[in-house]
Amino acid sequence: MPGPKITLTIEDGKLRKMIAETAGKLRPKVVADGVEYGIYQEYGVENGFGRGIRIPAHPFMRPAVEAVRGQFNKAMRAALTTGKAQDVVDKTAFDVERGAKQRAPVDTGALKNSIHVADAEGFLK
Amino acid sequence: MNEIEAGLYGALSADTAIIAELNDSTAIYNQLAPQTVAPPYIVFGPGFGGKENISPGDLRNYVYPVKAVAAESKKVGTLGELIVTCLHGATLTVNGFTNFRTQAEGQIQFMEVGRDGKPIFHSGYDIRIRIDA
Repeated sequence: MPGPKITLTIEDGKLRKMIAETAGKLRPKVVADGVEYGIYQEYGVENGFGRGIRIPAHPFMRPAVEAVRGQFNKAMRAALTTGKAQDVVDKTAFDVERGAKQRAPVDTGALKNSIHVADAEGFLK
Repeated sequence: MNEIEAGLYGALSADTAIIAELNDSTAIYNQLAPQTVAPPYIVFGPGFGGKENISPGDLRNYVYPVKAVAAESKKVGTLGELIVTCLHGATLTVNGFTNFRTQAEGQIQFMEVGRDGKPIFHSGYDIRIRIDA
């Protein structure tokens, strides 16, 4: 005996409208470090300290992103209806910056101090 | 090596395509390869994540960077893709847990200059591993 037939109609017009109104208006942010060895700390290397010493990975940037992923998704969903998406982007960028600074291995402090937020447009030029 | 790392090691070391590229079935290391071992090799280690604490169970969400290191760009590229083929969508054997999702996420790809001035290539992926007790 066949089961009940269910038909779903997804009304995505409102979502499409919200995305269209937001797209292109947000100023993306970049969180970056300013030292050349940041990536080597993040992923580990073969030639540590320039002396051929293997160093294991000490991730500091990706965990900082991971830590805010949930709240970002939640806040962005809410912001699409309130028009405050840029605030969410800005706050998230600074949250990632703070988290990365907290997790960065401390050497001379140069790596930690170099982690910063920048406008993506200016950063890429 | 914890149970997740044992599961990762088990999957990687059982992959015949990876072992064929490495030319050595033991060239897979947890966290750090011995200083005396020459590339190519694969190294993986804990990245980040932990207990989710969102359910009465023991749901956990980890990310492990898994990367190949080699002196040749082509070799490392091949191994990087084989890591994805091996682990993306795989069900790892994690004692005491059920691995219900394993997926390759962010790509790892960079190079450094070795002590002898020659390039050393790194390629792999962040592997998200979700388990429940």
